[in-house]
Amino acid sequence: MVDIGHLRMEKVTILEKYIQFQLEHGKQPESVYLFMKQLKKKDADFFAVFSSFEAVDAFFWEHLFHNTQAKLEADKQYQQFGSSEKLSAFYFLWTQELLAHRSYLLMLAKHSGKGIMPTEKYLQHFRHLFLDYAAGIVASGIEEKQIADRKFISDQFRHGLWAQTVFLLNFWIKDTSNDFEDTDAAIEKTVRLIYKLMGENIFDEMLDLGKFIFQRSKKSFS
Amino acid sequence: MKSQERIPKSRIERAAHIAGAGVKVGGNYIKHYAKKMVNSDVQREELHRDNAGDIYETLSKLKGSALKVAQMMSMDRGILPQEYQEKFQLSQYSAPPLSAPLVAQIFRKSLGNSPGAFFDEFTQNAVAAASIGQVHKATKNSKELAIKIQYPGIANSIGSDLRMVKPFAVRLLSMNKNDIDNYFDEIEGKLMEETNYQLELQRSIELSQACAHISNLQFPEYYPEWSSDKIITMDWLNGLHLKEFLATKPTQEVRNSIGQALWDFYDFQIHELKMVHADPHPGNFLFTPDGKVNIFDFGCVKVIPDRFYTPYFRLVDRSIYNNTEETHSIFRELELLHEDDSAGEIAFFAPLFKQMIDMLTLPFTCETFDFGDERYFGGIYQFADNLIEMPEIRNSKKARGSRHSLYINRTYYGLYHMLFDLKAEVVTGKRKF
Repeated sequence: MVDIGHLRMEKVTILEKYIQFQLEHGKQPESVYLFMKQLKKKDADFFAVFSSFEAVDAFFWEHLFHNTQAKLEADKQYQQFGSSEKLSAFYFLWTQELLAHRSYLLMLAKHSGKGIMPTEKYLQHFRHLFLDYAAGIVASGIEEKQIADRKFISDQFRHGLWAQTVFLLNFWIKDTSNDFEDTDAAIEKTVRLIYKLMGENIFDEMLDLGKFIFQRSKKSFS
Repeated sequence: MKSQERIPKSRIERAAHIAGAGVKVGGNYIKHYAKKMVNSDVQREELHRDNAGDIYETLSKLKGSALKVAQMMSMDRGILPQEYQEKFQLSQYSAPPLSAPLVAQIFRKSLGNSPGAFFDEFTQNAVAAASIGQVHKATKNSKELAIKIQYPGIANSIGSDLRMVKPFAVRLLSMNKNDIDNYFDEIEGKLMEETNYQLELQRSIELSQACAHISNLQFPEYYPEWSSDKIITMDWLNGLHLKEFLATKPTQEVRNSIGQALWDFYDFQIHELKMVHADPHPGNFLFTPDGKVNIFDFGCVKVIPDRFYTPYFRLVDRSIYNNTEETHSIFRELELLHEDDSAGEIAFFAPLFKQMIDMLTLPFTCETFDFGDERYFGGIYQFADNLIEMPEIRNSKKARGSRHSLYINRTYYGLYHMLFDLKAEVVTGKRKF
């Protein structure tokens, strides 16, 4: 049987060395072989847990997400939160996790030139994990009537939350306020806004009117 | 608790609000001159009221420093009519609440763990508003605690808020920029201090210990281990705010006991400690049915320098007015008069200041003073209203009054106001000047 905890630890050890290497050299290692040699280890140890550096890049985000989830689950208060508060709590803890790797994240943003784009390859694994999580948040929001249940559209809400996540990531990267207070404010504000957008609002009235007119117009031609 | 929908937080949003007032004020001037062309009798007073209304409306949408500045301006210079001043006081009670996850975040950032790790119980939502934060209630080992949490980003916004309010102040007070800068410097310093919860905690502990001997005052115990630059934890105090307290129809005896406690509290601080709790607005006190005052907010403390204290209180001695030379020299020390004043200006202002000081220091000269005396307060308000209408005052480009007088006057203003509301009779003459 594979020991998942142990496997994760192995991965984290390599991830940390890998980040350290990039921070010190300003670029990726030439090859897995050279990277591991420098650590006085065999490249087989690397390939036992990762297929490539790209897999490590993706694991970095999974690792942050995993840590955030673990902290949320351990938090008694979190269980009592409603949908929007759960999402806020996620962002607050997630940005705290990011903080431990700020230098590395600044480097990633600098390399791409325009900040971290949602299309970055290394984000895609995290994106899937987040979308699963967000689907749960949206479902509980609908149940609590914080979010309007709109046919076809409700399924897309989680993608909106993903866009918000990437926005907050880049906001935090550029944030120079004391203790990242501005990011905290941005989280409060964007969560409030997005719940206003997802809740019952003017769009429902427009949709209703649209449907009405569509049906009437069909009638008149039949 | 009625709360605003949200605080306009970003600088641009705030600027937009302020600009809104600018446009409206401008509009009022246009209205004023338009009316004047048609009807030359148009009252400048009407313009003044229009402006005050618009400025109130705009500033009341802002939380924190802009609101404070508006309050200070309105109190000290009588810029806003009484009705608006009262509205400002009310607005301190309402606040846009922080979400529970953000409160937890502030705890984690400044104390290293969420509230649940420190307390047995912790209210998820705020139970009250503080001037730049909100208050939660917690229990620990069956002891009730009040936890004050500061809104994030307040300190950052003060500087930019004040810079935006300044042009209004220049126009409203028609003062020159240097004098305004001097006042703003004082206000900004105090506001920055208010955001420093470490300093507040330290002063709260010091001042409450120093004043502990005064009868009928009660102070909470403070808990530094659960406090930080964003959080202050203290004992939960029971009692009612002034308005609610008065609604219970307390007896004259109870009101006197409370009035005396308040008077002694301020008297002792000003004359013995030379530093004073400079924010005596009703939200900072809780009153109990047995005539005790609970005091728990030392966010705004003014340290009184000797070079201000000495001349200021020398004026209480009526005999000084027999010597015009000396009176004027004291006025100059207090920056009520200036070296470059013309003989005409001195002849105009000196008697006015004398009259004002006469009125304001009257309680000091009596053995006991009845603060329920409506004639006395009516006289003060009448005097202030007359002052606004004097063109010499309105058009004077020079500031009159030292920067230190801002907070000292505000303290006395607030104290007198509360004592008036209490209709308390107070022994004031124990101290001899």
